[in-house]
Amino acid sequence: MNPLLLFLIPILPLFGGVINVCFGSRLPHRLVSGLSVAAVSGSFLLATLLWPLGSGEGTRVVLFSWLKSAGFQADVGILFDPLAAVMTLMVTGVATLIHLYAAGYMAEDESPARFFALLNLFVFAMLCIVLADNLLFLFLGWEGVGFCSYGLIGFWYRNSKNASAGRKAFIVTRIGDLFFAIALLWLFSAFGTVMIEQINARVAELDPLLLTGLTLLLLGGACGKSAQLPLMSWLPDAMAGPTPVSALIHAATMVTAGVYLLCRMFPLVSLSPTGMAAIALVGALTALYAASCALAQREIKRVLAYSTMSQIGYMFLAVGVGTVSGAMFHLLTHAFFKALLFMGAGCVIHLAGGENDIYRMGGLKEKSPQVFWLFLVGILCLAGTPLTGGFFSKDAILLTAFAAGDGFYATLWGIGVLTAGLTSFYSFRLLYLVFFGTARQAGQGHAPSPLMLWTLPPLALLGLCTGLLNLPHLFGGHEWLTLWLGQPMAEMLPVGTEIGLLFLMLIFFVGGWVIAHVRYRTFPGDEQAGWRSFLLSGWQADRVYELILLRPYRAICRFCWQGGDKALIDGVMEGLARLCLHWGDYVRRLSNGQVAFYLQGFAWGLLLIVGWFLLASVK
Amino acid sequence: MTLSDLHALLPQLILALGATGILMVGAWWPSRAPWVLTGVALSFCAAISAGIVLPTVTEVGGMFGVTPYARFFTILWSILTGLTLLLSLRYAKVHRFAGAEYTALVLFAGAGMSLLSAASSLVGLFLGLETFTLVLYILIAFNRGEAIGAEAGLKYLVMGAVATGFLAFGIALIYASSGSFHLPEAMHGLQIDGQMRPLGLLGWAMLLVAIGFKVSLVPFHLWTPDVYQGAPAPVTGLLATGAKGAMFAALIPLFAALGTLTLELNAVLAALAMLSMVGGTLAALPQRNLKRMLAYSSVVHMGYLLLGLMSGGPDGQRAVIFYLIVYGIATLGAFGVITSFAQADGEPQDYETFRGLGYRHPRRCSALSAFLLSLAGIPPLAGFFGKFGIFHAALKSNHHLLALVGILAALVSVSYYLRPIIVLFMQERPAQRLRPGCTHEFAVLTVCFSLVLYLGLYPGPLLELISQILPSP
Repeated sequence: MNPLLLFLIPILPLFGGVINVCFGSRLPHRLVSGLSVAAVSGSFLLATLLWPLGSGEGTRVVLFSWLKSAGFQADVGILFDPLAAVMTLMVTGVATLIHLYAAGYMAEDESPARFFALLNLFVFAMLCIVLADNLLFLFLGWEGVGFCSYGLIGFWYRNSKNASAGRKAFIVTRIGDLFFAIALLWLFSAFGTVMIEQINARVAELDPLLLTGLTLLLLGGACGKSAQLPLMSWLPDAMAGPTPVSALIHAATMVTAGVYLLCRMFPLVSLSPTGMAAIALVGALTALYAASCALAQREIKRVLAYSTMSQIGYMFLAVGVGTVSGAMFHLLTHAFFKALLFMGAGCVIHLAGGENDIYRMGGLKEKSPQVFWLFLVGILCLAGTPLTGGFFSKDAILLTAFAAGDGFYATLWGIGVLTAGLTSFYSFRLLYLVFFGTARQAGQGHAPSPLMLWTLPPLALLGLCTGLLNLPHLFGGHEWLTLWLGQPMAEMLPVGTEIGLLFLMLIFFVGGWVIAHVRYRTFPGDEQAGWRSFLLSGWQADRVYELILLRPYRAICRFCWQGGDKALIDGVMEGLARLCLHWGDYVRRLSNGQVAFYLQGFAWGLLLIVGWFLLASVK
Repeated sequence: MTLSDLHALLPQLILALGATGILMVGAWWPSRAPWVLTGVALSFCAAISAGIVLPTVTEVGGMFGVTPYARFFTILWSILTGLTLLLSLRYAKVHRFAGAEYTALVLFAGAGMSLLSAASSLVGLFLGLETFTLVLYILIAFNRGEAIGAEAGLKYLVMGAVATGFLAFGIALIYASSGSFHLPEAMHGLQIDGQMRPLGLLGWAMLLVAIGFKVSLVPFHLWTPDVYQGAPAPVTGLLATGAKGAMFAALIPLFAALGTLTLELNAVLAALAMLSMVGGTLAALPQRNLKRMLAYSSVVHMGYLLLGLMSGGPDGQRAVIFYLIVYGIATLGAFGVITSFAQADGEPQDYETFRGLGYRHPRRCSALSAFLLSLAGIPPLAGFFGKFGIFHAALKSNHHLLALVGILAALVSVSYYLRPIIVLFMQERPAQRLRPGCTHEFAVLTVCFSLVLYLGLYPGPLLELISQILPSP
């Protein structure tokens, strides 16, 4: 197989996107969506076919040198190693299903060309991140993802709320990008190259302090894209976009980019204990924070948004405790069940007649058993029900954290277990409020289109069975994913401890479920108590940012604008201009039309010249 | 005067004798367009003959050089004459000019300008200068029906007569001091113990007054706006480009011959340049009349040129010549647009009449904007490299203060160049239609426009050519 074929994987979506940008508005609706689905499924097929290229050391191909000047080189090149192969397959696969779903979901929209073009470009940008062999090319994709998310979240831009949600996502992730950009430049100045392989091979040369700084900067960049504390505030608002976009952002692209970056740079990151601890801490705290916020959310998509944030927190924790395979394992399972949940939520919203509030739903189980069962699978995976994909992947992370031993990691493990209990609770709360009890929605819903419905079963199957990918030895597996990624096997805990921990997890899972069952089996009525509104607003994070960041910023801006620009600069400029005009008027009036006066000019001029010459020669 | 002398003067003879012929035959056969077109043909003949007929001598009668430098300017002014005549074709018809006389006068002016640029002695300089100044007295007032034209002509005559007096007196004093009219000797003779003789200094003072009038430097500039406004637009174009350019072309060898003695004049030259740049800029700011604005802006441009002249050396000389050409093209183009809009009852000059005209006559108004932007020195138009060359030369020769003033003046100049453009394009109001243009006018404007653009993008070839024809020091 020609390795250059690898380039077709990102180029196909780019091509689809560009065609839709240029000609989409003149093409029929079906052709637009068809083209876009074909482009992404084409890359999925290619990724499957080219899978063998990713084994072992992987394959590196260069299409051409993008930038080349003394000492600096950036290629348009692909590094298709095991990590990238897994990620590519997941991204293209899930994206294909989401595109299919979107073709059904957006069938009635006014501007499908813009939507599908952005969707394709989104996948293209994500594939750039995944496949790039150097950080600059990766950064290109990184920014592309940011831009496309901006365009898609604010897709229905006529509503200013949506537009500002898009803006918020763009700006907040942009803050993270800044850190990443600094890290990129710093790495270049330290190594003289931006090649990922070369950097990872030479990290041992670096000063530990510098290494910690770089790790923290990379963490900052990852936090922005992956919506981790403290750059998490854009994710709940990003629900303003169409549901397929939410699915794409949360499952296949965007938020996983941060985790992937840390995995890609793991040889560098892992050498800094402080950096690793920071990553783990950020992950654990975000997991807890987001899970607590999810407890009180009212909108179905916001519950899912916070759950994503929380699950990504687990992945960060995994990187922080040193298990790339754990992070990637959870990333994969999460991608499947989260795509399933979001697309299921889209169906639910259609069923409920456009209602978003779970307190205004209920009783949907009778209305559409199919959606219920599929959604149930997603919820079970999310809650970590034993033997589902989500259970194995989450368990692997927590086990590694526990095995890390010292007090700090033990605390993080505790947080993780507590979060697992919370997750179980809010997952089932969602399920009960939406599908059980009495029907409370006002509008008359309609059944989702077959295209939407039939994209869900493959995801449900994958979500349930991904556990097999990395089945631990305890269950008779061989940790295939870990082997494939070439990562060291997790330390074997004594079997007794491992079983004990499993039981603990089970207790937390069952506890969360039982509480949810008792409380939400039947509809308890609207709840708006004080602590709930605190959690509903995400711990008032927006207000805190408003207070400590935005207000001072606005004050500075106002000062610079009113004081600096308007008063000082404009004042000086206008004053000078007025002065010039005033003098100009005076000079202009010298030309008064009198020849005698003009001749005087001669006389004065001559007098001055002769006078000067006289003075000069006297001297 | 030998045959080879006549052979060397062939281009000027074509212009002058052709003009005489047109004048004489025109008396029996009054007509308009044929004569003007004959004039155009003669001008281009002169330009071509200056380009291909190689002279066998280097100097004619000890007065006019036939160096490549002189030939270059002969070509330049001949082409300018031809373009001016082409531009005047319709204007002359509308204003019922006597075709033969008008053509002959413009051709005489061309001959005078080319003689002035070729002058290698002070007498030659005087002759060349007076040849076209005399012609311009008549041309400015050629529109006899209009009081403003007559007034402008009279003003120019009175002032010009005084200036001629200064010029003659100055030349006489220099001759008295150095004992020679011939250029290098006349200037070398002024020197005594490394300083200039007092009499020579006085002569130079007189000379500077006359030069100041001809190229309108502050404080000898007061006539400029009145004459610009009153003269017919094509004549103003000739006056603003050729008359001033030829003077500067003559000054370059004059200053080169002066050598180190220039240092004694530097303070006065610097004062003149500074006054011109500042005064012209300030006076141009409040103008509401395009021709008057261009008059004041030409004062500023002359200040820049003087700055380049002071910088001296091959760099300064090259910058001055390049600037002259670029300024000439843009100015001719600007007056060309005014000419093409002119109607029997007058020319559009006030900004009020230009309001919203860009939507009525987009091509000519765009060209006018390009010419104005080039004058302002905005890249990628030719004016940018012109200014760049001047300021570069000035900074290299340590005229930091003047260069700074020049750059500031250029900055402020954007304001008064943009104002007419804004009026043309940004204020939508149904403008009254002006005269539709005709083919010859469009041809001239196209030539100017393409040159402004071409020289802004590829100034290299012209700069190279100028370097080759510079007078050897």
